[in-house]
Amino acid sequence: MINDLMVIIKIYRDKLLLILLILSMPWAFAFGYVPWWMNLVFLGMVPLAGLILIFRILPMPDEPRRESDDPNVSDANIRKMRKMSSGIHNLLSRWAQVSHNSRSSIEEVATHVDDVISYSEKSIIDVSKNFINVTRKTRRQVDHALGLLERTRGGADSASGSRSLPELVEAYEVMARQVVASLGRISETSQQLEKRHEQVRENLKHIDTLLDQLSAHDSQIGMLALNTSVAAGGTGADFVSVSDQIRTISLESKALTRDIRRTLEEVRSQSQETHGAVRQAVQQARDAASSAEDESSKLKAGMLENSRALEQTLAQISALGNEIQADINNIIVALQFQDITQQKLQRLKHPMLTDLTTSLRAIFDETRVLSSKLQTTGMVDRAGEERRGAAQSAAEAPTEARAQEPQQAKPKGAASDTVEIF
Amino acid sequence: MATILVVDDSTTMRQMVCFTLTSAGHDVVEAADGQQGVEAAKQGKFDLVITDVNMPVMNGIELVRALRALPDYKFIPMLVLTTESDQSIKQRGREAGATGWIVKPFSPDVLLNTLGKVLD
Repeated sequence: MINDLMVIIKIYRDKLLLILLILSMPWAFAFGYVPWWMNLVFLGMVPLAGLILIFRILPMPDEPRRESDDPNVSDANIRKMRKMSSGIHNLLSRWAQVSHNSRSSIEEVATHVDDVISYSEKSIIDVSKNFINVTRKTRRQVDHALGLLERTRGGADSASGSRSLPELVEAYEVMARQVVASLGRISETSQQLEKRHEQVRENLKHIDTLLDQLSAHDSQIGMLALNTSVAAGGTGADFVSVSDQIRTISLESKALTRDIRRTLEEVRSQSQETHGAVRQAVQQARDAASSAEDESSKLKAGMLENSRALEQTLAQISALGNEIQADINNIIVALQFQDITQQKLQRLKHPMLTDLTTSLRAIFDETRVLSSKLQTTGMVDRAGEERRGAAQSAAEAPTEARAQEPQQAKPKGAASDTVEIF
Repeated sequence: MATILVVDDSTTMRQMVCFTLTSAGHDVVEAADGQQGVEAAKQGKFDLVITDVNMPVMNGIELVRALRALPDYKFIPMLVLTTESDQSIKQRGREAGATGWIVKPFSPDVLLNTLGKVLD
């Protein structure tokens, strides 16, 4: 400040007296009309007004030429060069500050990039491991389900000997048919048995008739023996004896006939019981055959329905499997984008950010050196020096020179699929 | 089904490729860079090699060149799977002996389809 004042006074020294004289004219005019103390105040205000006039109102005087200045260069050009030097100095100062700030920011960005790479790599590895586990398990599940359904649908495994559901239905139907046929044969056999039983009954009736006739003959023989005995009277003992024998035979024949009749009655009774049982068996066989046929039809319809449901389930599982495969493909592509982003960040960090930091450091050092040199040459004018402070404070604020943040690779909807076979 | 050598410095990418290939029934051996890839190739016998380009120690182009110098790998198909799509790099890969070039990100279907073509 004092130096500046001395310089200005030195520059304006030939006009200084005139300036003070002009400033003191109002005071001189009022000298005899005001009290003495007011004269003192006015007298003190004259140099103050002079300083305000010099510093704030009058234009800055041209600095005198220096010994180092080229005498061939005009004053105007020297003034221009000094102005430019001041501007450059100011610019360099700002640039030095900005580059310093930018370097700090870039170093911070580099640290963050390292963190992002580390975190993303770890998370991607975890995600992909889990993803692979899940997809493998899902695939195994689908394979098992498909295998099961294939077996039930018809893809019989000849090695294992297992049969498909339609084959089982077919086999069951054949078996049911065989059961019905067997029951039919049983029914036919029962009917034949019944017919034979009827014949037996007819035969029994015929035997009955014959027995009746035999009984009648026995009675007639008895009567004949009695008549013979009466007619003979006492003609001969031999004749009586024969007659007795005939009677005896007749009685024995009667007894035998009774026994046979009794036996035949028992046989008839048993035959009737058998006939009833056979008839019942025939009816039961018919009912069983009919019931088996109905059940077989129902079961066949149910199994065919189940088979159709299994077919639909198989189709759904197959479609679901395709969808899962498509989703897996999309996830694989998405994970690759993450990986590509990470690689791009790595490339951004090294060597781009590292190089940029090094360059900024070099520029910062060189700028400071150049700025110092300019300052020491004395080519920096006062206005430039004044502006410098403001520039420095502006440079401390966040600037546009911050390192560009690493750009993440834009995820696309699908893989690029650029394939070239040489 | 083929035995395939997959060379990539990215663990995630290797996992994705291996998952795709093993799901299709192939056997896979992994390597993290070109040098490891060469060593694995010398120790085993592979029907196909899939490699990235940008890798530490030895890059993919150098790997292809090194493998082509081995008698067992003179005629084995080698696919380059990379984010690089510049024609000059592709040309370098072709000159080194690469069979094909797939740009990441790959679709599993496309990868398997390409594999089928080059293995045929």
